Amino acid sequence: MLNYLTRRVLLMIPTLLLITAVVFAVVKLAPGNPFSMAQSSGEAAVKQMNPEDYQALLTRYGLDRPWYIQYGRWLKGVATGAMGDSFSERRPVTEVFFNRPLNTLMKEGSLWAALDQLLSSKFGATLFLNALALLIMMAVALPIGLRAAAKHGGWFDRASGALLYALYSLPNFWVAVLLILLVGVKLQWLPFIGMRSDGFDEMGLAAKAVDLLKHAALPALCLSYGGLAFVSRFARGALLDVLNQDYIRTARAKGLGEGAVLYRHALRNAMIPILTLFGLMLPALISGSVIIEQIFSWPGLGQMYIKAIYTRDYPLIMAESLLGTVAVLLSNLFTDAAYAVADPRVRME
Amino acid sequence: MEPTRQRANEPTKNKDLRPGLWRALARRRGAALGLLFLILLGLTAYLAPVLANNKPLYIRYDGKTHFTAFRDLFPAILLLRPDPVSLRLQQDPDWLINLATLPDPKVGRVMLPPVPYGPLQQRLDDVNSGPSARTRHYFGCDDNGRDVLSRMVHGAKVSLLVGLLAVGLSGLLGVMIGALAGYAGGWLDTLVLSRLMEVMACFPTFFLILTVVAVMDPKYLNIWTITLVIALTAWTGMARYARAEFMRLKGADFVSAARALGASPLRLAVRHILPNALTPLLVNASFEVAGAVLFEAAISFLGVGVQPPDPSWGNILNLVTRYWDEWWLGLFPGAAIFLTVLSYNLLGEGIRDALDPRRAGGEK
Repeated sequence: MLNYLTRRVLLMIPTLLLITAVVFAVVKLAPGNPFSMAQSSGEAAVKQMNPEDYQALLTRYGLDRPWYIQYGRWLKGVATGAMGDSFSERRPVTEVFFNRPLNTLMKEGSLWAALDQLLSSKFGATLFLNALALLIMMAVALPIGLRAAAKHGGWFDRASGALLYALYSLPNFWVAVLLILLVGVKLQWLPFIGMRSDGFDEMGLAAKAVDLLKHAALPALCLSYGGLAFVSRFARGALLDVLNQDYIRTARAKGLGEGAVLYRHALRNAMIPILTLFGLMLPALISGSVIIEQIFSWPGLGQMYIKAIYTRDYPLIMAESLLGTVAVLLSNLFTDAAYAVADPRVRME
Repeated sequence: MEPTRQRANEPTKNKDLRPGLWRALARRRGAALGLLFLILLGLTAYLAPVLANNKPLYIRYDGKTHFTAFRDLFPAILLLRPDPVSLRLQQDPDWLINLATLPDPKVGRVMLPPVPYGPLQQRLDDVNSGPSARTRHYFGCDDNGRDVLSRMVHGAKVSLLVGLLAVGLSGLLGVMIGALAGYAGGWLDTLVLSRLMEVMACFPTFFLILTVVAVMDPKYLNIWTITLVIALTAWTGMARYARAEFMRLKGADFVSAARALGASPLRLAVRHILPNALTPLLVNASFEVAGAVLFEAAISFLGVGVQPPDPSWGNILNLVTRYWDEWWLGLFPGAAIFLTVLSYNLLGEGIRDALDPRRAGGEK
């Protein structure tokens, strides 16, 4: 088992190198750099920069070297824990991602202040939104899936299957648009721009929480419904597998009621595969959705990524790509490991 | 020799199953509806110039009869003989739609297409006007006064072409690589090709495509480059299926028999193994087309796909995020994307069920 896991982890290294190298090459070989992009769009001071200063800036940041040398430097930085500074935000990448919750915690000793710091960072915004989406997804999908399995072949099973399948084909950016048109514009029930209302800082703790949840409601809904079909079918399958086992037949044979069979015997055993689902959802949870964040102007990693690409903010682009790739790799590793635990043959392959 | 020879003919039996596929598909309501929608969509895309155009289907002009809109079906004709009606419309795109208020003595009978506006035709008077049968803007207008329905009809071509071409291309690439990996096996498979597939599968595809199209010069952003980018990242699914099928089939009796008869490896792969491996590939292709259509719509929606003024469903939908009061910009193009994606998914399900006897009775 340990052998198998070691092999899997070692295999992740070349994968990670290749993927980051490709992303690096793509953004570096594209025309433009942080300074030329700022020149064509941005501030007056940058616009009037003379060619010598421009060249000096490129040299200073090493942007005049070939891309593979820059990639080597970036790798060295990552290995030593230095992800570089963002060009457009003019502060370290880690700070853009996470703010400084740990420092705040140390200095002020207040958990709330630290949490507030994290929540107002790009990563925190994305994590908050996706965690909420995941919660909604699980809360809706699991009962549906389990009920469909308990009465499988019945009308509920078929109806929920068909409905969720149609939902699965609905593009989430269209759903986002429709929800905004209906709930945000027509009925004006919920806000649909950004993460906080004006005057957020003056609110009390409860009012802050309500405000955040109100802003997150629509985007979280859009992120959650797509996975409903998958999760509920998965839960249904897991429970069905268990229901076909001998010990369930035994439980029924000894006269247990259907409720006791389901909740005490079947459900507990079906929870194990369902828990592995969380591993699969890891990438979505932390790397963020570009489209949904863009539509709702949600200040998270996805929106940051688009902006970073347009301003050629290489350190931010690379950090987000790294985060996304690591998340996918970890999730694959987790899933493979779960299978390897369950099925010894996998380990030998 | 004799019995093996008969076995070598086994794959031809599969041909007998194919009429059965159509019948099985027709029996499945969802798949049949999906197929029907896609066929209609294909016709719409092809006939776009006569369905939505400011050029007339039929006109008596200056004592002569012209079928101007039909000329757009064969663009090459335009190069040969200039058409007075087209020339006049180039000067004044609203000429015929305004006939009721500005009569023209030279014009006799006119028949306009069902949607009497071109996809690029801008009418200042109609900027941001809503759906209305009176103005014949059935799905409303965008912020440049262009007719939404006309743009959607012409945008159908983009969705269909990107979907089919991207999957065709990635299928070709994927099957070649997968076939090589599965058929050759050995170090080429375990050290090179399988690792490559594994690495590609870990690529955050959407991020990569987004990055590529976002850094591209907008003047290169058109359906061909987008198709190419999607195809280059989407081939791994096909390759995995092809590899598995080739590994399964290369030891089959009919393949050994064909090899014994002296067939070359290329002939074995293309004539004997591939026809028998098509089923899972076909199912996968159908789902991947749905994915590609969604991809194109998503990146055009983000503004890094097909660039306006060229119409695509995604870039029409994008406008609603700037004008939230104009609900028609959000409802109609999104519905078109949804129905197309749903159709491909249903078709894929249908083919899979139809070809797999175990699933014939539906999922149990």
